[in-house]
Amino acid sequence: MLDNLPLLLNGFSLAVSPYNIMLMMVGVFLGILVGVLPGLGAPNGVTLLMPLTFGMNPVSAIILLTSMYWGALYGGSTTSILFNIPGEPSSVATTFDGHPMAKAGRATEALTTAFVASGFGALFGVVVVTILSSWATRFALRFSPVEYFSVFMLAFGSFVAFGGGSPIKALVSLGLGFSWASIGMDTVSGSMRLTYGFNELSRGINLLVVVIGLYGIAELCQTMQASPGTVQPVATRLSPREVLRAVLAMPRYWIALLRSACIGVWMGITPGGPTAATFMSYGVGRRFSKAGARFGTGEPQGLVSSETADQAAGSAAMLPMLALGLPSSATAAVLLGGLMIWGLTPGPALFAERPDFVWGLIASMYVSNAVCVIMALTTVPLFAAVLRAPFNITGPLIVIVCLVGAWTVGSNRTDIAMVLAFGAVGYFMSRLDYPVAPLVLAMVLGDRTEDAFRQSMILAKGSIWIFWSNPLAGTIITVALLCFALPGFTALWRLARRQFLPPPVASGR
Amino acid sequence: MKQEPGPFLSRFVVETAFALFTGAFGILIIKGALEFSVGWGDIGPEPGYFPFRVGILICLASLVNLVWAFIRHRTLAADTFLTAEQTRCVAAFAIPVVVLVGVTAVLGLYVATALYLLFTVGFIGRHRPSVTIALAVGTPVILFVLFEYVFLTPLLKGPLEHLLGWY
Repeated sequence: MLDNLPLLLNGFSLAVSPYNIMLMMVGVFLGILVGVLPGLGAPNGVTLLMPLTFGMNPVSAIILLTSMYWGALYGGSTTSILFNIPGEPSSVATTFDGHPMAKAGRATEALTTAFVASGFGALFGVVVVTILSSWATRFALRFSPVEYFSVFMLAFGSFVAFGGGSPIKALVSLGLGFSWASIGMDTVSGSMRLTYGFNELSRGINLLVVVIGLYGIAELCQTMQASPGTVQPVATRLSPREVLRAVLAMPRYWIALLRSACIGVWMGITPGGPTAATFMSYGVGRRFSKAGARFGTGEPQGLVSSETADQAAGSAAMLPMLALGLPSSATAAVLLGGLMIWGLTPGPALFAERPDFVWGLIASMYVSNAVCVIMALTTVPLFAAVLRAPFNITGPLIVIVCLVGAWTVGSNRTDIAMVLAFGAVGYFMSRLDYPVAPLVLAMVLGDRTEDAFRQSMILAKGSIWIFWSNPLAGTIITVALLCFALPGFTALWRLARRQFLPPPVASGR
Repeated sequence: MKQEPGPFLSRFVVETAFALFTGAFGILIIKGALEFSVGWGDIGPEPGYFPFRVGILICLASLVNLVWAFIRHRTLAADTFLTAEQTRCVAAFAIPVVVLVGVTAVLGLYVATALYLLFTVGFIGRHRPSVTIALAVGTPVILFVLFEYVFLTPLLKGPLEHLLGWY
C-alpha cells in the first residue's frame, strides 16, 4: 500500500501543472454543461470531445476527458435538483429527495449537500483506487485469455441480471453491439466480415459515431417529445451563508456517507456501474437508515445516499478499466476506446509501462474533484440560465455539435449519415426500454471477447472445459453463467408460484 | 394544431415492429457470417463462428420479444407510444435533421449549418429575425474559426468554400 505513495506523488507532479489545471477547469465546465443540457450526457460529451484530444499528450487528454466525466456527473445533479430532470441516468435517484428539497425552498442546501456528498464519494473512490491498484495489477497479471474471457462474460452477464428492465431486451442490445463490433477486418484471420460488399463498412463501425447517435440524436428526439418547454425551475440564488451551513451539517451524515461510498466503490469495481450503485445505495439507505421513513420527501440523507454512491462508483470504475480493460459504465467504455486510440493498451502492463499515465490520471482525480465541487457551486446560476434558454434554440445547436463531432471522428461523410441511423435505432431502443449501455459495452469489448475466446480455444485445443481448468476462471465464468440464467430462474419461480399458490385476487378474464 | 392528445401509435405496433426489425437484422448477420466457415477450424473457431452465434442470439431474443408482445397485447395496445401532437414534435425535429445531413453532403457543414439554423430557429421556433440571423451566421463563423484555426481539424466543405479558395 505504501509503495504506491512515491508513484502517486510522481503522478501529482505530472498532473498538477498550470496547463493541466486549466484543462481540468475546461473539462469540468464542459462536463457540467453537457450534464445540464438535455440530449447531451457524459458518454456523448466525452465522445464529442475525444477526436480533439488525439493530438494531445495522453496524460493531458485523459485529464481533460475524465474531468468532463466528473463534471457531467455534477451537472446531472444540478438539473435533478432544480428541474426534476435527471441529466444522467445515474442521477435519477437524486431527484427523489433533491427536488422536494428544492421545492421546499432548500435549493441551496440540496445543491451544496449533493456536491459535497459527491466530492466525498469521489475522494473515497480515488483513495480506494490508489490503495488497491498495485494489488489489482498483480491480480490482473495472472490473467490469461481464459480469465479475460470469463471476466468479460461476467460484465455482460451482470447487465443482463441486474440491468433492471427486460433481460431479453438486454440480450438483443448486447447482440447488436457484438455484431457491430465484428464488422470489418477480423483480427485473427484477416478476412472482411459482415461488409456485404460495401467498402464503407470495411473500416468497421466507429464506436464514437454509434455513441453520438444513440445518446445524442436519440435523446434529443425524446426531449422534443417529452415536454415542450414547460419546465418550472426553482429559485437558484445561492447565498454563501447557506452554503456554509450546509457544508457544516455534512459531518452529521457520516454514516450515510460511509455506507454509500462503500456501496458505490463496490458497484464501481465489480461491473455494476454508477446507475445501479445509486439505486442500491438509496434502497439500502431507506431500509437501514434512521431517517429512512422520510426518504423521498426531501431528506438530505436520501440525497447523500445516491450522490455519494454515484461519484464513488464513477471513480472506482477507473480501477477495473485501467487494470483489466473492463469498463463498468458507458462513459468508461468510451474512455477505454480512447485509450486504445492513443495507443495505450489497458491492462496490468499499462501500470508497468506507463506509470506516468496511470498515476497522472489517479492524481488528477484528487485535484479535479475539488475543482468540480467549487465550479459546480459557483456556476449554478449560470447553468440554470442556460437551461432556461428556449429548447428550440439549444436543440438545433446540439444537433450541429453532434454532426460536427461525427465528422471529426474520421472526416467521413458516411459517419454523418450513420449518426442519423443510430439515432433512430437509439430512439426506439430507449422508448421501448431496451438498455443502451450493454450495446456500448459489447461494442468496446466485442473484439477482445472474441479474441480471448479464440485464444483460449487455441490453448485448450477446442475444449470448452478450459474455462473451469483453474479456480479463478472457473469461479468467474460460473458466476457469469449464473447471471445470464438468473432472470430465467426468477421467471420460472414466479410461474411456479402462480401455478401452485392461488392468486390473491381472481383475474378478470 | 390539435388540442386533444389522441393516441397515434400504440406501443404494441412499435414493439412488434422493432422486434421484427432486430430479428431481420439478426438474419442479416447470420447471412453475413455464413460467407465464412462458422465451425471449428484447425486452430479453434473460424471467422464466422462468433457472428453466426450472435446472429442466432439476436433472432431468438427478437422472437421472444415478439411473442411476449403478443402475450401482453391487451396492455401494450392500450399504451400510447406517441400521441399525434408528440409525433408532430418529433417529426418537426427529426425531418430537418435528415435534410441537414443530406444538404451537408452536398454543400458542406458550414453552409448547411447556416441554412438549418435559419429554418429551425426562424421558421419552426419562430424567434425574432435578429436572433435567427445572429445564430445562423454566428454559429458557422465560430465553428470555422475554432475548427480550422484552433483545433486544426478541417470540417467538411462544399462549393461555396471552394469558390472562396478555402479547402
